[in-house]
Amino acid sequence: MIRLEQVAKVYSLGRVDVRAVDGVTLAIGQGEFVALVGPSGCGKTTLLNLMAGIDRPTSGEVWLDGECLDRLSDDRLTRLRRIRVGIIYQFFNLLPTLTAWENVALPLLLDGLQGSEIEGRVWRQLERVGLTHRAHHWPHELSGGEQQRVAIARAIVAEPRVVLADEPTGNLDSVAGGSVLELLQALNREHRQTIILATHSEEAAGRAGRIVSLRDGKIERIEKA
Amino acid sequence: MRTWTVLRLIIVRNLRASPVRTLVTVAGVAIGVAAFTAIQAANESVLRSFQRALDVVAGRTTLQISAGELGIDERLLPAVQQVDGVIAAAPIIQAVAPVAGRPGKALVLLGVDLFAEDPFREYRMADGDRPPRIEDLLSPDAIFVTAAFVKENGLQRGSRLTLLVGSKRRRFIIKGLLAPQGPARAFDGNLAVLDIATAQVALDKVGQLDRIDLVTREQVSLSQITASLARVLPPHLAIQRPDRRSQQVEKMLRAFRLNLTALSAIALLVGLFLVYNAVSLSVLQRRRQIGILRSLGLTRATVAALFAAEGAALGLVGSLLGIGGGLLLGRALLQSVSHTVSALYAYLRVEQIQVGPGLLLLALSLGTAGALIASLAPAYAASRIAPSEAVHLGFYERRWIRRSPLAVLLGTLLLVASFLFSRPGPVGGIPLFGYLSLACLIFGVACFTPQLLRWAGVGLHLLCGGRRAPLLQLGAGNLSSQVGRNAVAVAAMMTAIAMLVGLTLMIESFRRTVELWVEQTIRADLIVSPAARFVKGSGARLPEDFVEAATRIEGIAALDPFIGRRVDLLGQEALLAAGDFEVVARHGKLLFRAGDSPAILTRAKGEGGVIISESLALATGLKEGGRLPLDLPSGRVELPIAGVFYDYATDGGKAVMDRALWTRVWGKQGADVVAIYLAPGADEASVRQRLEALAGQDGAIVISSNRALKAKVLEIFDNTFVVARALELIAVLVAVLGIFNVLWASVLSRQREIGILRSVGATRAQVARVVLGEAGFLGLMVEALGLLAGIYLSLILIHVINKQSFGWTIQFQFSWWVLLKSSILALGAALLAGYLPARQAARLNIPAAVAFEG
Repeated sequence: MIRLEQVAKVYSLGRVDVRAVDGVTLAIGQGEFVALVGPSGCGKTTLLNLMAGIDRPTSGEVWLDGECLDRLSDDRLTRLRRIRVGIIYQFFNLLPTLTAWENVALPLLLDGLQGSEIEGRVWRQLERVGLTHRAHHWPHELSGGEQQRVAIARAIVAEPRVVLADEPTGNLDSVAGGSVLELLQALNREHRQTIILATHSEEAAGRAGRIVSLRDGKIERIEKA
Repeated sequence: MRTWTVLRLIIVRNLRASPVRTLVTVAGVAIGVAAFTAIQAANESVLRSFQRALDVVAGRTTLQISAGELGIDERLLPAVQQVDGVIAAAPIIQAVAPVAGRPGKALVLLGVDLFAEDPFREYRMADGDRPPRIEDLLSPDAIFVTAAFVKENGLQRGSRLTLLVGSKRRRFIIKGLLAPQGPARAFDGNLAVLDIATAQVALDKVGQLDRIDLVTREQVSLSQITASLARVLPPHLAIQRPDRRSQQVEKMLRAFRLNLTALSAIALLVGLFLVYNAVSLSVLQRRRQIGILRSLGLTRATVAALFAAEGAALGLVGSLLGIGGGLLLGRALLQSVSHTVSALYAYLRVEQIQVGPGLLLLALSLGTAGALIASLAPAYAASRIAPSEAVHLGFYERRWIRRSPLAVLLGTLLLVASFLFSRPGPVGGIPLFGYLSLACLIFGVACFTPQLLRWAGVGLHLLCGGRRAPLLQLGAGNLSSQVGRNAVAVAAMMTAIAMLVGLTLMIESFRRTVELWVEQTIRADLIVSPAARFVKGSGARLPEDFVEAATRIEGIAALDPFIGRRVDLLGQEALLAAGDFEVVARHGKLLFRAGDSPAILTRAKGEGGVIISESLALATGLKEGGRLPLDLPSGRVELPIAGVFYDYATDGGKAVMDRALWTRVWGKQGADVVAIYLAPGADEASVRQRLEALAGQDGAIVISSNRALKAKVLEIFDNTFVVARALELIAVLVAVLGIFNVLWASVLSRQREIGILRSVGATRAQVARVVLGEAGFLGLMVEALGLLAGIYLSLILIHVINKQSFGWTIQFQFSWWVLLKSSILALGAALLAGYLPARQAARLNIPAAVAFEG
């Protein structure tokens, strides 16, 4: 499903080069729930960005569903993100000028789907995250947990095969965080969606099937939960 | 020292960190200041060269006797010389003569009594040129020109020089070259001196003088001498100091200069909107920084001072650049301004830009102080930021949204004020309230922009409902949530478009009015005039024998000889003229404010009255049925006013009497122009041939057809508005920079949002379309407001400013072409301004943007 081969990402910060990801090789199968753990700056977010196709590796190859991402044009990569990958961020990243409903509908609208088709899918996802009653609220009218659930609905509305979550509970209290993790687990269980979760939290990592520990951009160890 | 360090760390660093915004703002101020400086520099150069020419030609003259262009009987000279206190009196003839075969080139002829000149003016022959012999001085073809003129035209001493003088070609021989001293310094060296008798013959002014210059005894006061002179001279002669003439010129050009100044001030105003905008954006983007600084102990006053200093710094740098650019631009404009002044007011040669330190200082302080004032409101807003408030997004915008109803109220009050200011008359001949009305209009409409943007954003949001058009939805959301920054850009560009629409409508209406007037009043089949008349001040006329002989040419049904002289009428420089009222009543037509043309003309002829132009009526308060006081050589008379007619040909107004009355007062003086009406079936070509034959081999006359004359009038009209049209475009350019600034800042501040869009699957093109969509929407908003404001602006220009400045009635004409042009411009300019920000948005680095915490 996802394969990384000797992937490195080097950022140039003025006169210093920083190797955010350093020779990572990893394969993740369809329907797996993988947690990426490690201290701040170990390369979790960079690795997620590379897998999502929103960043390109300095060297090595990233494969998704048999396609090498580095060889895709920007438009193909964009389409891939729209349909096959869903992304969830720590800071929710909802567009403040769109309502919850509109935020969820966005990937489908960008893909040019018709109204009736969108309607059904958006309501279905909002129902799944338990927010149909908040559909027409603005992001600033929602709690943090609710905002993150809207972000999850948006990430899965196009029914992607992979959901990448970057510290999705980092900005939430334990109750809201717990419900977000349950949602992710349910997605994985019921729809066999591949979930890759970058987290600091041991509790969150404990819900994954495999835990990949990173340090200084390299894989330190991989263990089954 | 401490102040400078704080400024350097907080303001200079910030300006350097936002190079695009800094550059664009500085450029905007620079363009505004440049437009203002250029117009002022061109105007000042024109005035200065007039003054200089008058000064150097006047020399040591203390008093001058003149009768406008009516001329003085030379037999008065001995009486003047006898007056107590007069040391010397010199007769002068002065006229402008085009150089034959060199289009656009002309010489100012100074006819003087070479033996009486010593006390007045100094002439020196150019280096190496021997002094002229007495027979050279007095020979009837002798002329003295400047060494500079000779060099420029490839001539030399002894060369022949053909000038168009009066209605003839006159051949002169250059008998000597003048060094650049005394009068030879005037008119940029385009001056020729000749003996007064030669000048009188050449200009068909035998027995007449244009002026008598006097040098008087210092011990006797000028008022005493003036009083003594008045006792021996007829009442129609004016006795005045030479500098009085320069004041008259200044007065004559005042309306023309003021209009251009007002236009350039609008360009400056648009530039200052840009500073307001830039400092507002700076406050907006740095709210977090302000919060930190406040929590570190910076006082509110210091925060305000820092942002005001930022505005002033942008203004100062922009003004310095603008002054430099303005001087360059002024040089380019000078040609056009001096061309217009030469065509409409008086012959002038200005080749160099002459600017006093006063103007430079004015431009610098207007730009800098204006920028400082423009930055006060955002600086105040910055000072109100509480440390805790600063970290919340949108505090600034929410304040704008809260206050937008208040702005609507203020805008309404300003629009009411604009209407009220359009009612009163001029103050000292200046439409002061008219300009105030314009300013209230611009600021009034600007006040509506925040609320309108908000409504438009919300309306658009409701309209698309978010179901089908997410990109439109996003754009609408941005517009209504970022009211503050967008409102100022819309206001700036609206001002520019309003100016464009207003001026274009005014010019088109004016042109249409003149076209109609030309169509209805220019009815003659042929118009004959001396070739020299295309320069102002040539004084050229067709001799009486030509006019009389022309009446006998076969095929001519009637002719109307027109003669006019510039004189002082009730303190107003105006044209006193004469035509054949009987011929005009029968063949021609004048458009009268009230009444029928033939009836009024017949009555005027019968009762020995005059008809006056609308602009003279407005400037002097004279009306139909009133009386026009005139000082004639025989004494003061009061002529009945038979009618007031529309006239767009003469600046300053016109009073016309029947030719018979003119001849009774001044004798037969020929004509400036003869309008010829052909008999039915007459052959135009053969009449032309006979007229040319009548003028003789040396004749320098121009015979224009009806169509050619009409075209010429419109050509002069169009040339007059070249500078105004250039200024319109400058204002639009500045406004484009404003829109660019806002969109650029908007893209920068929405990096996170754009990153999210890209990460959930928006393509580069889709992101670019969001930004371009916003730009287009701003453009539409600008167009709608600019068009409304522009129509009102044109009404103020037509009914208040032009009417009060020049006294012309212009019929308002709406033109769809103006609507189309301004729409294309507003939308095109906005999209153009959005191009780079859209590209920037599309190329955003997604991981960095998403990680960015806005």
